[in-house]
Order: sequence, then C-alpha cells, then structure tokens
Amino acid sequence: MKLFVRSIKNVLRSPFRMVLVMVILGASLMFVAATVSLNANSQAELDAVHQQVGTTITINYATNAANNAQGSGQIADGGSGPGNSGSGPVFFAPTPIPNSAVSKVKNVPGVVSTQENLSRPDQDGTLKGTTITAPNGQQVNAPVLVSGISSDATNFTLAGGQIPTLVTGRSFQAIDANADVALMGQAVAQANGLSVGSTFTLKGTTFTLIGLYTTSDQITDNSIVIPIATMEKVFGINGVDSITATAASYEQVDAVADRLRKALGSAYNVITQASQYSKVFNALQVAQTTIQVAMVISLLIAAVVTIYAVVMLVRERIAEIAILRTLGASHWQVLRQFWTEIVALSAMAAAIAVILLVTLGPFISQKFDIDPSSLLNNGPGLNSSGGGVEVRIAGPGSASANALSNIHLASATLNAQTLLIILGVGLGLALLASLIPTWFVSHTKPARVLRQAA
Amino acid sequence: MSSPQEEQEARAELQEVAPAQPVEKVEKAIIIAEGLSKHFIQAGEEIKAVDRVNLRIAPRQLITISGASGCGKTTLMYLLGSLEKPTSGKLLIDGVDVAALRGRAEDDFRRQKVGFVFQSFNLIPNLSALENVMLPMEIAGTRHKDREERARQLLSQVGLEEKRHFHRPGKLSGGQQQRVAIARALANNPSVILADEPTGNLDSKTGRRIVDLLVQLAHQGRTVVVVTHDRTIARLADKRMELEDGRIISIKNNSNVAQSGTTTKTAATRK
Repeated sequence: MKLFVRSIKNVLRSPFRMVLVMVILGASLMFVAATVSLNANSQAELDAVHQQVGTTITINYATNAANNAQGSGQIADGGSGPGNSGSGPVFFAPTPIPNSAVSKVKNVPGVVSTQENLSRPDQDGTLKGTTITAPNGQQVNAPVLVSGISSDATNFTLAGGQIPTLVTGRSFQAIDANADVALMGQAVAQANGLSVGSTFTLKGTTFTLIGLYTTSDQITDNSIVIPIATMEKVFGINGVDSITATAASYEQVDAVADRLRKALGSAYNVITQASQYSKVFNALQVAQTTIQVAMVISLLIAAVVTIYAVVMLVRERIAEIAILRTLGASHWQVLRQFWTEIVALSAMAAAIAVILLVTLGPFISQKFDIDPSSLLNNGPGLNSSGGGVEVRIAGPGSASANALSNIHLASATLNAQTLLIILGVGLGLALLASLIPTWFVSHTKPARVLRQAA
Repeated sequence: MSSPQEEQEARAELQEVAPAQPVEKVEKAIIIAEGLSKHFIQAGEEIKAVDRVNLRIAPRQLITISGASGCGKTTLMYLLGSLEKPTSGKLLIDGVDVAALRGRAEDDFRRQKVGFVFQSFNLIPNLSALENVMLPMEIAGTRHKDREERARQLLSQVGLEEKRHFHRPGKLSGGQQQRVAIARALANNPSVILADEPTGNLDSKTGRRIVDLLVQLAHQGRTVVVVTHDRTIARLADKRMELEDGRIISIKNNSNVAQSGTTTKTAATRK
C-alpha cells in the first residue's frame, strides 16, 4: 500500500501534464469500454433480431400480394376503389389460402410451427368499434377487426405482431376449436357494455365472451379474437389470409423457404422475413461496423497514450532509477516500482473513464442507436393519404415489427462488463506497453546515468 | 566485517595474483585493490580511466582521492562501489570480491556494504527527508516501523532538525540535503562510505560542517573514501591519495591525524 501511495505521488509529480495524460487515457478507455460494450450489444441485438424476425416465413397468395401493392387488404374511410360502391369503409378481401395448402406447409420438413392469419373487419357494424386517432389527428370510427387463431395456440400475435395481454377471463383451449367463444379487446367490450360471460352476435352467430385483453396498439385494441375454424364457418371462408411458418434457426430459413416454394408452387409468395428486413439488417450491420471502427481507433489512442505516458515516466526517472540501483535495488524492485506507478496511473485513468462513461454513456448510446422498427414502413397502423385515412390491418412485416420495437442497438452504460473492460484494457495495455521500456530501464547502468547527471 | 581468517585468505589470494607488487605496509585492510583497471573505448580509442591501481585502506579511516579533472577519481569510486565493473584486477571490500559480483550479489553488496554520498545529493525529489533515508532500508526489506525509527535517529545524528524531517529536498538548503544524503548512506549501516565531491555544491561554511560530519563518521568506525578537490577535507583525512591519468601517483598519511605522516609511493608510481 505504501508503494502504491508513493507511486501515485510519483505519477502526480508533474500534476498538470499527468492529469492531461490521465484524462486523455481515461477518455480513450471510456470509448474502448463503450464501443466494446456497444459491439457486443449490437451483436446480441442482431442475433435477437434474427431470432425474432429472421426465422419466420410468410406465405401469401401471389395475387393478394399484387392487390396489396395496389392498396387492397385495407379499410379505407372516405375513399373509393374497385368493388367499393358508395362512401364509407371498404375492405378488399384477400383470396384465402385453402386449408389443404396449410396442411402442406405444416408438413414441409424444417417447419417447426405455423400460425394461420385470418382477419376481417366487422363491416356489419353489429359491434360498436372504438375511435382511433389517425396520424393527422383525425378521429376515425373504425370497424372492429375480427381475427381467427388456432384454438391450440398458447401464444399468438394479432395484426402488427401485437401480443395481447389477458386482463380477465381465460384464453382458448383445445376444446374451443369449433366453439362460438371469443376474446375481446377491453376497449371494445367497454364500448359495447360487455364483460366476461356476456354474449354478443356476430354475423348472426351468438358468441360467449370468455376473456378480455389489452394491447399497446389502438388498432388491435379494437379487435376480437375467435377460433379460426369458427371464423371460417361464420365468415364463410374456406382458408386463411396468410400463414406464418417458423424455421428452427435463422440459418435454415432459406432452405425451408425453398422447400415451401417447391411444395406450394408459383401461385404463392413465400417470403422470408429476413429479406423483408434486409433494410434493418443492413442498418444494424453498418452501425456495428462503425462501432467496431470506433473501437479500434479508441484502442489505438489508448495504446499510444499509454506508451507515451510510460515512456515519459521512465525517461524522466532515469536518474532516480540510477539512484535506486546505487542504493542496492534489484532489477525486480525497480520493475515493481514502475509497474506499480503504471498501475496507479491506469487506475486513476480508469476512475476518470468510469466517471466519463456514467456521464457520457447515454449520449454515446444515443449517437449509435438504431430503432429497427423505425426502419419498417409496412407495419400496422394508420396512414393519412389525401383526404382519407387508411387503416392497415396487416403488412408483410407486421408480424415482427412490434418485436423489433423493443430492440435497441446501443447501450453503453456502466455495469460489471464495462467496468471490467475499463480495468482490463487499462491495466493490460499499461503493463504491455511498459514491458520493454521498464525492462530496459531496470537494467540501467547507474554509473553511466550518474556521470551524465554530474 | 570480515573475519581475520577471511582477511588472511584475501591477502593470500592477492599475493598469488600479484606477488611482485607489494603495496604499502600491510595492515588489516577493508579495501584492497590490486592491479585494478577500468578502460573505456571512446571513438575507437581506449581510455584508461583507472590504470593498474593498487591500494590498501584500513578501516575507520577517512581517505581522500584527489587529482585533476578527468584523472579517474570518480571511476575509481564507482569501481569501489561496484557501480562499474573493472576491466581487470582484483578488488576486495570488506572481504567481498567485488569484481566477481553478479546480479543479486552485486545488489546485496551495494545495499549492505557501501553507502554513497554525491555532489548533487541525488535525493528523490518527491520523497520527504525521512522517506529518502528510509528508502535504502525499504529496499533491504526492513520493517516500516524499524526503518522509520532508524531514519529519525540518523537524521538527528547528522543534525537535521526534526521539523525538517518531513520536508522535501526542494525545501531544504544544500547543506541540509547533504546531511540527508549522508543519513541515507548510513541507513543500512555499511562499512564503507563513498563520497563524490560531497562539498562541491556547498558554501565553505556548510562544506566544513559536512566535512566534520564525515570525519566524525570515520572516528565512529566507518571507512570513508572521499573524492574531492577540497583541501579542507584533504587536510583532515587520515590518508590522501593523488590520481593522475588513472594511476595513483602518491599516497600520503596525514601528519595531523595519522601517526606516521609519511608518503608512500605505490608500486605503479615506482615503475
């Protein structure tokens, strides 16, 4: 401890210069820690994105995709289009994928799970919908969206990838496969004065409400969910709008997609979500590369500053080393003295790095951060176009857009990992950079130095 | 201190190496140099800084080495302190064959057997007077409490007021710094004190006090070798040696302090 205290005194012998060196070294160490952390974090986030959106494959009818491009598959308020007679909300129903195709998808090797998606608006208006606010501030009375899900699905998502949270009642069970039961958005239930156990009529069928849920999106809050078989029966649809198949891993997605294309033929669009998210992946990749470049630069600066500090310490202390050797200090004792000083220097620089990281970390994170969901324009929501408001109930990337909204590329905060990086890199660099200079200096011939000093 | 048996062995060894070069009257010697040489190569030319020096120095004496600038005084002192390796010759100090020392043994020798005092004091600037004196003991591995106690004692012994013990060298006068340097030289209780122009940076009054201190050390039982131009020290020394071109040209016993007061020419000079 005495040696360490004396080392700190030695380091601070020229306070202004050494403080400057320590601040630069501290800043470099902070950047190294921040960028290493950001790099690790970005890799983890990339993996997470791959995991969440990269393993899914969406299957649509090719004709539906074409119609989507023209604006079908949407409810338009105040607009007009093919098949739309008169004013008011219109819906262009996609051609359903037959159940035989669903079975084929389920049987393709490599498909670990599927989710059939079937959604229709309650255009009859038997249920009162909630009021939705469009981006332009316009209040829209949107029809209730009815979605069908597999009754055995333990976890399911609604349009836009929204995961509903059950607030009361129960979810579906296997026995509900063909039953006239429904889950309902709490907002819709309130608008219609319904509660769990109540009944309501939809398309002439009386449904029993078994549970209420909420989501974080106003579109999906304005929805009800019924078993998919019941939905096909009630709406008179033989099939589903789209199928989301999941492959076992990101690496297998392309192979599974190829098998699906072969199995289904050219009438279907088989789209891997990785391809839909290429923009996101590219942005993440670019950000990660930038972080890596910043990391290398920070490391180089830290190394140069450390070498400079070590050489400075050693050069200025040649006479002192000669005195120590004259007094009988061994090479090892001189080495130990300098290493302790260098460790003291690094420790002080590390303390500065910690302070800088605490204060500047959020700012750095913000600079490097990317919100993947912001790169997607085809998620669920409302668009204002001309005088009308379009309500998108589903887009090709909607299933995972919500999942991406929780992913943030950058996080550079003080934690055990960054603290270890600061200490490890700081001390490691210092000891590495000091090996050769201190070795040479510890073997100084005292007589030569004393002669020069005399 | 070496035993009589070791002394006898050392003498026998020296006689084997240089039987034809007897030096002055043989007595119990603490420093024995025989044919001691140090040559440097400078710009392709061999410089004989110390050239075949023979000497014997008895313990508890103050010896001065003087001579013109560049005559090899400092090199001889560095050889005596094992800061330089001789090119050839034998050197025994307190029974230790200094020329043969390597590595840790060399460090041990410098730590235990000799203490250095320099013209420019060579104190560590960011350590206090007390810490500077404690440093050799720290290197030797002495316990903190013991070394602090001894350092205080030594500083008092050399006449540094207690209130100055915690002053850094920069806050001390030249004389006070030299006192601290002497206290540091004494820290590990060495047999030999080697001082290189200890009064060179001091005014005459302060210099005289330092000389008195060195004389006192010799009287207390240490061998003090002083490289100096200062006639005051030379007058007070037990023995005065004069160096010229790396060779001892004369060794004089001082009549004021020594019994004989004779001048002895060395073997090298006689040649």
